[in-house]
Order: sequence, then structure tokens, then C-alpha cells
Amino acid sequence: MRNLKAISLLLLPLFGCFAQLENPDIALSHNLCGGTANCMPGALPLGLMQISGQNTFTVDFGDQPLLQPSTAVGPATVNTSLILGGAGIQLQNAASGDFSQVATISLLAAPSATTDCSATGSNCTVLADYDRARDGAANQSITLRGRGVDLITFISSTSHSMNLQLQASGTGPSGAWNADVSMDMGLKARANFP
Amino acid sequence: MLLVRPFWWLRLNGGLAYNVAGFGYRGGITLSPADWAVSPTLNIDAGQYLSGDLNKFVTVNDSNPAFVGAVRTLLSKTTYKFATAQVGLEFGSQRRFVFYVRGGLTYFESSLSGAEITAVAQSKNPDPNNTYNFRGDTKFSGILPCASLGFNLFVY
Repeated sequence: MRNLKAISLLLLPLFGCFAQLENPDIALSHNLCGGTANCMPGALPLGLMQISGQNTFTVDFGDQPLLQPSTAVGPATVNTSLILGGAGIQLQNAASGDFSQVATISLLAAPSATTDCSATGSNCTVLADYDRARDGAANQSITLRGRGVDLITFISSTSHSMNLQLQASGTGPSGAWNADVSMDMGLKARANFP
Repeated sequence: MLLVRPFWWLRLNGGLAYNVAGFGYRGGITLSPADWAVSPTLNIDAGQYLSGDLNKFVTVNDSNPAFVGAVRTLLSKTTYKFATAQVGLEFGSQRRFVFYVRGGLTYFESSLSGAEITAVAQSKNPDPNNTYNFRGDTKFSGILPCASLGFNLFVY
């Protein structure tokens, strides 16, 4: 019995063992129109911002190692989080105008490509938002404040992608426009042993 | 590795470190509070590996040659810092020769280049409209169990 206690005491520190990968500053940028064309109409009163006729746009993260909530690696389980710290929308062409008439804009995770997140019970999650009254007027770019949401739960483990939607109020740029949507994320993948 | 004993119960050591993948340096202290045939020790060591190519030991299998190339580039510069705390037993004479067995925990910390991790992520990016950018270095760290066997030959 005493030996058992002594062995347990010696092995106790092993329960604090871990290996961890972390980067607090990862950006993933996605072009809304998929090229240089301006797919967004100008001077549009904003609401649900349809991209090429679709309610949502899809961001494919790719089949990246560790981009799932948990991964078995040998005897350990790696738990991953991908926290969205903020987002940005950068107008591609200054000739399109600017975002100064945009009053609010939210980036949401949508459960499906046809979801309208403004509908009651849509089950969307606000990832980041901008409010002109709170954040000041925007120009060529809009910075959205993150809500600290873990994106990993929204990324499909089979398609490795997530459906995103932009809901806004105010008026868009005066001319047809295109933009890059960027997400600033912090990655942490941790395996605890044993 | 050179070792000095300012007191009979305290040893300081330092020297080059080699882990098959690369070279570095290390130093440490050993407390040996008894001069018996079997003596307990407490050991604290720290060091840094300045070079290391894990491609000698790791084979990357993937159908995507860009991914394989990016991971091989990342693995070719595996440097890290470490600190180790171990308790052990030494068998033999503290005046001449001891064989030791030690066990404990080691903390390691490695910094992976943001540009190289970006290349790995980008190689798995299927959408030409997406761009990854790992702005800073990625920190890889951990606490793991460790054990060591060895001997000390005391010449003075």
C-alpha cells in the first residue's frame, strides 16, 4: 500500500504533461466575388447582402491538419480552438466609392446556404460586427469587432468549409463593388497526456 | 560535457548538446546530498538546439506535392529551447565513477516561422479566392516526461 502511494506520487506530475501549438494572429482573407469583377451592385440599400445571388458565401479552410474540434494522435487527443478576434472588409477598387454610408454590418455563421439570418429562429451566430455610431465612419475598409466565437464548431469536418453571411444597414458604395473579407483568428491546439 | 564540483554535494555542468537531428548547447546543476554507493540526485538542466533537421526521421506522405514540400521545409529547421527537472539515482563512487538513472519532466519551446506555416496552410487551400497569412511565429511548447541514463567519470 505504501509502495502504491509512493508510485502514485511519483507519477502524479505526468498528469500535467501536454504539447501545445498556438498562434494568436492568423488571417484568412476571402474575395467575395471570386476575382476582379464587381459582383455587388452600387448604391444598394443594405440588408441581407447577397453574394452572386446567394444568401451566404462559403469559406473553405481546406483539409488542414488540426482544424477539427478533436483529433486522435496516438494515445493523446488534440483539442483545437480557433477564436475569431475580429474581421475586416476591404474594398477592392477605390473607384467603387466607399463604405461611409454603411450604418451597421454583421458577419454571421449560417447553418445553411439558404438561411436568412434576419429571420426569427434562423439559428445564426454573430461572429463580428461593426456599428458606425460605436466605431466611427468607415472609408475603404470596415473593421468588425469579434465576439470571441470559436469557429472550429462551425467548420464542417467533411467539406472543411463554413457558410458566412453579411447583414448590414445603410447604403453600400455608390458604384458596383467587390471586397476581400478577412478573419483574424487565434489558433490553439493542445494535447494532454496521458 | 564538462563538469565541475565547487562543493562535494553540488555539480555544475555545461557543454555541447547533440540530439541526432542537430547541435546546440546545454548546462545544468546537480545536487547530490549523499555520498553513498547508491546516491539520490536532483538535476536541473536547460539548453537550446540551434540546428535540427527532422526530415531524417519523419516521412511526409501526402498526394499534394506542395504540402509535402512546405512541411519538409518547416521540418528542416527544428530548433528549440528546453529545461529539464529530474530526480535520479547514482550507482558507484562519488570520487571516481558513477552510473546514473534519472527521470522527470522536460519543458520545450519551439518557434515555427510564420511564413513557413503559411506555406503549409496555403498548400492545403483549395480556393484561389482565399489567402492564409500566419502573421507571427507559431509557438510549439509542451511538458513531457523524460528519462536519462549515463555515467560520470571524475578526474579530479
